[in-house]
Amino acid sequence: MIRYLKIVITGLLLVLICTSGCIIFAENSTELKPVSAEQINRMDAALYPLTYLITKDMEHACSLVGKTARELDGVPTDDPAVELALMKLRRDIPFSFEAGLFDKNDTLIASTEDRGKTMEIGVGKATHHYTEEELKAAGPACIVSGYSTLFHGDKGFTFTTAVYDAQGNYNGTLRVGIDTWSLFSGINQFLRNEYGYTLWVTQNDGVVIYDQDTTEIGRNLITDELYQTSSLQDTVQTICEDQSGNASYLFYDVTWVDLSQINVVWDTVYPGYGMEWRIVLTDNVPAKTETETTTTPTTEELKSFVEKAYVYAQTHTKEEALHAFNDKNGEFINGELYIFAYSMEGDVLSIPYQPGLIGVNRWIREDPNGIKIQQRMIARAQQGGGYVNYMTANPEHQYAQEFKLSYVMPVDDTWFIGAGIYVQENPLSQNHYVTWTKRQDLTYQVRNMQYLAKTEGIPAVVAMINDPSSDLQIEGLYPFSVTENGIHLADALNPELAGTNQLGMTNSLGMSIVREVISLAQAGGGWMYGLLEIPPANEEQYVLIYVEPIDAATYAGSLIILG
Amino acid sequence: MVISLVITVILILVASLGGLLFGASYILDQSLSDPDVLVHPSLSGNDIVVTIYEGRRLSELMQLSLEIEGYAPVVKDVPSGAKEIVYSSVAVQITGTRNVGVRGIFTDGSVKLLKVLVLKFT
Repeated sequence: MIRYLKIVITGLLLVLICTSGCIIFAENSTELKPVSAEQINRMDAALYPLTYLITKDMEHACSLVGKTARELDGVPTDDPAVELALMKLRRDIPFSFEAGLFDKNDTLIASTEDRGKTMEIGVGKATHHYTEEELKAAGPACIVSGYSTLFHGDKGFTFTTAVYDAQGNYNGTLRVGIDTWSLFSGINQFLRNEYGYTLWVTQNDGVVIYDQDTTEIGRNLITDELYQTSSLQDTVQTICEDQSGNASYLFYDVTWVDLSQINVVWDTVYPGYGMEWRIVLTDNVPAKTETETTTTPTTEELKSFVEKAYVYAQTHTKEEALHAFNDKNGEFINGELYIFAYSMEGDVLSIPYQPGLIGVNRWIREDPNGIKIQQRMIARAQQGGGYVNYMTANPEHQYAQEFKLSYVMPVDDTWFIGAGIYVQENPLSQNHYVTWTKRQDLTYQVRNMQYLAKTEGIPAVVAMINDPSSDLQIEGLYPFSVTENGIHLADALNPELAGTNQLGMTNSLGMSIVREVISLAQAGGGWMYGLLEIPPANEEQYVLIYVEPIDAATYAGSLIILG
Repeated sequence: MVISLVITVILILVASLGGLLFGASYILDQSLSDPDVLVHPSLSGNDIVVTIYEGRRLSELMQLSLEIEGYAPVVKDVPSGAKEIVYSSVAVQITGTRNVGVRGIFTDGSVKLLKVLVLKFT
């Protein structure tokens, strides 16, 4: 008996040894393949113009900050010129969040926005402290902070420069928060569509400040568990140490299961004093498959699918419902349809094909055009439910970014459910994209209306919207202004709407664009898609809208027609 | 003596008010956790659409009363087999956030609260 036992144990040990050997062999079996000089040259040719462009953008933004600081030297905080200078600065840097003036103790004394308690004048504190010596050492350049959480929870970095009093003594700082997503996502879209490459950007300390996958932003490439593969660590080390170069490493593909070889070239941008960014161009963009999916459900089928889940959620406990929604083999999976669930704060409650995301907060998740996906869904759910649009990766098409139509419903005031379908006929699903310069133009135009409303009054802005030849106009953009009660003050696309209440105007999906615009403006502003009748044919087309408040009761927006 | 009397009266009033509020919310929770008919209101432009799903007293449902905070209730008949009742133009000029309730009026004359939701009109 003991002899048989020994044989069995020995056999088991042998199997274990062999198996572990196989595993080790399998791990090491994926060897890096050499990359041709031609491929490196092609990648470099796509990268270098972009690093030049980003450098110029940063230099220009920093020079605007410096110029504004000199205008504010010796100006009392209560002088109206301060507010105007800050508004103008924010307008002229379209990828900025807000601009603020701080005293020597880092306390906020003037700002372009007061969205919440953290931005209260006299109370809010700067997120980074710099000594007078550091500010002097920067000279005419701005100090660029590391990537961090800024005021009102936005994430990005700040430009900082010193401000002096009338006698030339150091008197505080001027700071501008920069939206790194806004800065890089348009460039990334350009790269993807024109060259088939993609971009990530890291500080030279390893902190990722941009990646098309938002879950990677803010992580440290050197210390984060996600990146602890030997080939990647070697590459990260090289990227952090060398200002430019090329390398290859193994990393997860879009499935986050299999490893694949990724080839990169990188270059350095110096955005200001104290910071180096490595702009890394990769070739891991899978070609979009042409294979068509099974028949796409109709919008009515989509709605019915969500309503079925709604009834289930109302007739079961929350735990039972979420368990059912997360079951990949359950009744709430039907072809491409599945039920997702989120809290009203953006926490993932159900997502059957990405269980690793459960519990993750996706409040600030943005699509390539800046639409804050979860925030738009929540806004729609709080209207009792309905359709919402955004772009996201389609697993059926090699995770290419495609236009999605989702239907959401609130289960109660604390959580909501939804499901979505990809809209193949939408131009954004067919390699059409909005260039970052156009998006910057939209932001500039809306912020210009804010500035002009302050300097010349809202009636003057209304007149400029109505005048196709006014200085406000930018080709291809359609500015508008609406009140908190839904009255169209002016509309460049549909001038006849001026003076009418459009709260009740709905599109074929039952969406009230004006109610959504007001809701978005009241939340501080931002981006959204809309489906609108476009004159003269009055056929519905998708548009990209940017909106911001002019004051507490009036909002300014502008749109571009997609396609 | 007078002070302690005043304090006692205040305590009694606070306790009564607390009990009343607790009782009200308890009744609300009881009625909504297992409604006689499952309904859901949603905003579409200036209309509110109340969708009727299922419920043990669905066949007895005669009317639905839509109640928007700050506005008079609007009662509409529920035709047999109706899947949704559209309250046209009830949200004209309504903005901001308001409580919205839906009550069911049944064939036996009973009135039951079926749904309460906070709707964000803008």
